[in-house]
Amino acid sequence: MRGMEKSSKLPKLPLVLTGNRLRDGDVVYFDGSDWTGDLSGAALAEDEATARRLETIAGDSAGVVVDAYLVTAAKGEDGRPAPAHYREAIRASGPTIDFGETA
Amino acid sequence: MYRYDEFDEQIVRERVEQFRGQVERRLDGSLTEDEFKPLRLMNGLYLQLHAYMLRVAVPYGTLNSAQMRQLALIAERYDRGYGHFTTRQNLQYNWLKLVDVPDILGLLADVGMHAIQTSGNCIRNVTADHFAGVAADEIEDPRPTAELIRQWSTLHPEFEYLPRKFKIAVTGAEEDRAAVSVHDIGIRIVRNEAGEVGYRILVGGGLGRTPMVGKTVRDFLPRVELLDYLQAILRVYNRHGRRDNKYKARIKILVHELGAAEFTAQVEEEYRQLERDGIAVAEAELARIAQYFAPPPLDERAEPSDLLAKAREADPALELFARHNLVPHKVRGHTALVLSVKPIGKPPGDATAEQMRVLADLAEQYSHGEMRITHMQNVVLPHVRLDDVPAIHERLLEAGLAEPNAALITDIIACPGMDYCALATARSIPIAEDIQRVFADPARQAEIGKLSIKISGCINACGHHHVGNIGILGLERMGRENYQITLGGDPGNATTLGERLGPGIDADAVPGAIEAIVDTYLELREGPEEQFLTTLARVGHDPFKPALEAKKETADASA
Amino acid sequence: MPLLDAKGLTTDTTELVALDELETARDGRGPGDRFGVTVPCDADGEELARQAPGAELIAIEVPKTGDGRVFSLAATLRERGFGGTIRAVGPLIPDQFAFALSCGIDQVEISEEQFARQPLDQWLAAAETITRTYVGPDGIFARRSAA
Ligand code: HEM
Ligand code: SF4
Repeated sequence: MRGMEKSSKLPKLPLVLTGNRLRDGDVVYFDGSDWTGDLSGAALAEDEATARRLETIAGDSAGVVVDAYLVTAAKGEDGRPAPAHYREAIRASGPTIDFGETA
Repeated sequence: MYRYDEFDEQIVRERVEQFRGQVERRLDGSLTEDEFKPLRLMNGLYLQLHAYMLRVAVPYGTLNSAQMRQLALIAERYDRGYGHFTTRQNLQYNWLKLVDVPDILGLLADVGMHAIQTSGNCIRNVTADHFAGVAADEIEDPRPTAELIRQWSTLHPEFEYLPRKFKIAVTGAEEDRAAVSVHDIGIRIVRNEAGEVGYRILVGGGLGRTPMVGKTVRDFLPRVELLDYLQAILRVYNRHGRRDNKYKARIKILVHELGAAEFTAQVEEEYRQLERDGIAVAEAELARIAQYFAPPPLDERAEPSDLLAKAREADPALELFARHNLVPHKVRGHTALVLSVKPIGKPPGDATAEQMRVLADLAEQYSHGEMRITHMQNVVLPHVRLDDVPAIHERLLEAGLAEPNAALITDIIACPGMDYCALATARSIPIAEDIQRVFADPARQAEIGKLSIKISGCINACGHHHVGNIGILGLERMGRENYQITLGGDPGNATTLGERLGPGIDADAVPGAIEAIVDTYLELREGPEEQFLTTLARVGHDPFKPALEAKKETADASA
Repeated sequence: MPLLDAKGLTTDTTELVALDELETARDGRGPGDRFGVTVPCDADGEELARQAPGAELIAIEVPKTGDGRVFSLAATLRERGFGGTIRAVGPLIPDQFAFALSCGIDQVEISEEQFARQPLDQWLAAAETITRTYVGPDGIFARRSAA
């Protein structure tokens, strides 16, 4: 898993903190005070100090969010975070295929 | 089919309540995630990219109509209206909430189903030949053996915390349709010179990142000794299997590092010393369980069926379907009907709740209430009268389950890949769909003949790409999905692992590359009877390489 | 550190020595002294059963929650006739208690931190949630054949 070692090397900045909510497994992002389902509402850490603060929040949230991790994000034109990697893009917007009743 | 007695029922019920308590203790902080994770995995519950995924066991692939309807109900009530049939005779739900899972397990228990040990570092649900009890080449139905092992391994106190997962498969037929040689333990039901039925035991097979073919540790094990012998193997593994590195923790690595001879010697030594309390059990239980698998009352009927023959003449779609999706049954005038859960351009193995109900109804009406799940991710109606095939076909057409492609090139195995899976390095399902579209024309598929494509979204190889005639492995290269193609894999009796054709290619180049490979095969084969593997063995990989290169260039040019 | 058995919290003052001190401990023991031996969980059960006569207790060190070697080791010791107390020392969780008891482990010693999160009632409840499994003297297989 992508669990975090203390004071480990950070992924490339800027970063967001994300994980899956324990109760329902939903993808969530830390928005500065709480967890949100929307990547564009996530807090974007653009410097190491902010990133380290997010890191401690990951540890403190273990009862609510499973395996929270910091991940590199892109900064969209509007300044809001956007996925930087296809894995995160799929996490943020769901499977890329039709499924279930829509299939 | 096996039916639970009061003890089986009780253990499954208690297990549900146990899990309910474990979820509560996770939520209230008594259990950390590290402590809880193995517990949920042992109940088949993963945390995937978007939600929790529950893996339900379809024991040795056999399912009745009531169970299928319950699976449909759960799909609608708790998931998004569908489920995914896997290569390991499981059904997976992709969109569950942790807090709902105890209730879902309760609904499964209502119909004699469960998710016990479908994941985790324990003995997983046992798989068996999906044509058990149907195939003419069968020495004996493998399901009583599989059920006995299921019971023995369920909550076995000594073996719930093994170094790694442990998969057992059983086949009773000459042709190995259960891929026993790529399991941790593969069991073949065999007959010795004296005509007695017993087991050949293979250990140490597996796919994943270090694919290996199992080694025979016992050529003939008297059947009553099965449980004790398994006990000896598992104990040697539990004590000596590596726990320092999870990639080296499977029994295949232990067998490999010790050497098959030394491993066998250790097992035999442990077996010699063991308290043999399993012999009486195996004897009594195999007889008790076997009663449940008595074949349904099928009357021999005329074969070929006139009715079917006439209908085939009149209806080209039925003709195609009948040609590819009917499997011979050992009772004359009957067939095992393969229903392809691989419609063109849809996720392989996904069935909607509606489709599940149609399957349940058809099974009830035409197949003694019984269905099978195959490792090809398809469903089988095992006991169908040939006369009934036209009527069934009509219903399948309406339900979108009449694809006439069993074992053909669009009958693709694909793992969930990055659309769902947290471990994935690339997507698998869209690749499968794109390839299906290229070969959508049934006439073209028929011309190509039997050819298996298997796709995995990472090196863990859940899509069995190593043993695909054409295997596709999704990786990541420089921030992009990248696909490696292997040729020559074969899961059958002469298990062979495919060899890489060349460097990886981009997603959008894959369908073209596959098409070029197939065209090359069609060009080089000595006749329509010559299957892909035969041609490949004759001409080698080289003639296929340029095809791959050419497609890469066109993809680059169009990019 | 908290020590539990099937009935609840317990104490046990048996003195523990390392395997290579076993003989000295045995020879030097006075009347009524109890002694036992601490072993890692990769110890060889068969050999241990041969070396251990006289020892009242074998304490098996368990490095991780998921390390199931302790179960096979305990079961092997019992099969080879060890009749004393078997103790598992390490981060077992209540959900493993029933397995431990079935394999012949009598006591579990865990950390204070863990006991605070997982107090006694969780251990006792967990030991009883599954009334019986298939194997073992009181297992379902045995029950069926007795019926
Ligand atoms: C979606 C979540 C899944 C996860 C997280 C997962 C995880 C894994 C992992 C880690 C391995 C490698 C084990 C090893 O080499 O030690 C593996 C192997 C395998 N999985 Fe999955 N898997 C998933 C889904 C599936 C599905 C959907 C199927 C069936 C269609 C499947 C069937 C298999 C098979 C057959 C193997 C290789 C055989 C072997 O164990 O050697 N898995 N899986
Ligand atoms: S092969 Fe990889 S991507 Fe596919 S299901 Fe298995 S673990 Fe996931």
